[in-house]
Amino acid sequence: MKLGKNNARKYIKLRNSILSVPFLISAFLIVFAATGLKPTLASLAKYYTKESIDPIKPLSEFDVSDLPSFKQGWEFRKDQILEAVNTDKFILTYLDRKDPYKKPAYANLFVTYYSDPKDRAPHSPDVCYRQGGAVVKQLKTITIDTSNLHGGKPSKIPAYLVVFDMPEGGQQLVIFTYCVEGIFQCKRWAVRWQIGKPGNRYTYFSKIEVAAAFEGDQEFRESINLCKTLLKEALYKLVSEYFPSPETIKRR
Amino acid sequence: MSHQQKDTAIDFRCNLTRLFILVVLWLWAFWPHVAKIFEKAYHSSETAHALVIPIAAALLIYLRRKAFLNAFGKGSIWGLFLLAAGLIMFGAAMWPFTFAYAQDVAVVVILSGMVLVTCGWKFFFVSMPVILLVLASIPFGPGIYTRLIIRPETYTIAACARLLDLLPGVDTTIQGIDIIFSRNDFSGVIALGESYRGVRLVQPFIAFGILVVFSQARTLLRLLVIFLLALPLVFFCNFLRFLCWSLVVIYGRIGIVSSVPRCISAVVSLVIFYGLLLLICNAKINLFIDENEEGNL
Repeated sequence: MKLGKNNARKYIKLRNSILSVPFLISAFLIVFAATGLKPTLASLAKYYTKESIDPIKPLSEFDVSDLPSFKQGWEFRKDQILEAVNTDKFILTYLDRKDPYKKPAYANLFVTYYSDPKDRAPHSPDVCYRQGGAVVKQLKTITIDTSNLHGGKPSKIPAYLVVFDMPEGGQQLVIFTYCVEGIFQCKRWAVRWQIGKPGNRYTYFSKIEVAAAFEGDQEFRESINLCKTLLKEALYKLVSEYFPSPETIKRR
Repeated sequence: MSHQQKDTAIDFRCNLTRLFILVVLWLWAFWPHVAKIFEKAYHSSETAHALVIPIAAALLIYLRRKAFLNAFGKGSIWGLFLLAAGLIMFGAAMWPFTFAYAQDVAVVVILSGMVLVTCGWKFFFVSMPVILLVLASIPFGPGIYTRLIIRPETYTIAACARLLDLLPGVDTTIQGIDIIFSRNDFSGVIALGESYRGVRLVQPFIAFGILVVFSQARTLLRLLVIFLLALPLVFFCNFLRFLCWSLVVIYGRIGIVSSVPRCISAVVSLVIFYGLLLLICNAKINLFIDENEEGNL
């Protein structure tokens, strides 16, 4: 009985000792966070950090005459937007409908291409338009049918749809999506996740944005169709001719 | 003193010493992050509330000291998992991903893991408000902020403009996140500054709310009601802030660069927020009839 009591006391003393095992492991983990984590990550980063890759063809050579439903409209002055988009690889152009009797008569295509593995995907219309005085009227995610990208197989990609009241009057519909290493994402955090995720050797992402001005409900529906058509046609050309293929960016 | 009381006292001292050592190590390891938060707070009026968070946390611990003392218990091994999860999150947010906010949150997760591993579940739950308070001091990154805020901000500005239109002689139009107004011979802009600032006091409101609500023991039911009402309350008070800002600008004939409307509206909205919180916290509703006897959190 006496021995049992002693054992119990010893056990309590041991338990009460400051240097318990969970405490020591915790302390070790925190010390590791302070001293060993950065070097460990740096050595991993040496082998797995992705590299930049240029588009197959310069985006400035984008030929709109290949788009089935559109023809060249007037162009923007490129020097004005070079600073704002933070890349020299971009397309910004107005496109007129080939069918002149349908409204809206034109839409604009804005594509930017980046390939810095530390990029944070900073530009998106829902933020940038507001800084220019536009007021958000609608903001939602939609899907775009992209079976033309996959040889007719049914497939869809996510995209963001934003409707603005423009400061100069009228309304504008914007649909945009990101293509990251061949994968389509519409949320910026998902883009950053995909850029950071180890696996591929090279990384790039591109924001593909189409917009059309409209007035009234009827034209709104028409402008959605117009933007979806332009996005599909432009994506087909971009993915097949300009963006690096998934095979090219893979780590071998 | 009996053996059992002696052992409890030794247990208590040991847990406290372990926690103290781990907190010191934590401060040493993550000092750059803590310093970054304070530096940002020092230079930005949007996140300045972070400067008073340590005082608020100390006040909260003091006000709930009995609950803290009674909650000390044997540490839980689950704290190690929480700590390890925080560490993985911290590392991953450093490389390969670059999510600064997630990295700062991970530092708080590690802190909560330390609390759990040294002092047990009961203490962990009692210290949850303090942990939430620390979380509220971490400023959202612009990406998260815009994603969360565009809709509420747009509605707030639209509601404010509509209300201002009802005032005699006042006409408004919205441009981006600014309201352009005219009243008699005076016209101007109610400008909040850059984008996403339309709900700039959300985090200070949340931190202030945590301090007020958890300064006393409340029943789970009341906490649930407060939790459900918290977000509408925050956005309502933010709307009042915007309205107050507008009224000061319009009727005070104040120019766009003055900081007076910002300061007055911030103080007024925080006072109203405090009053409404007190009302919810202290209202005697039948649902809360037994609260005085069984305050548990």
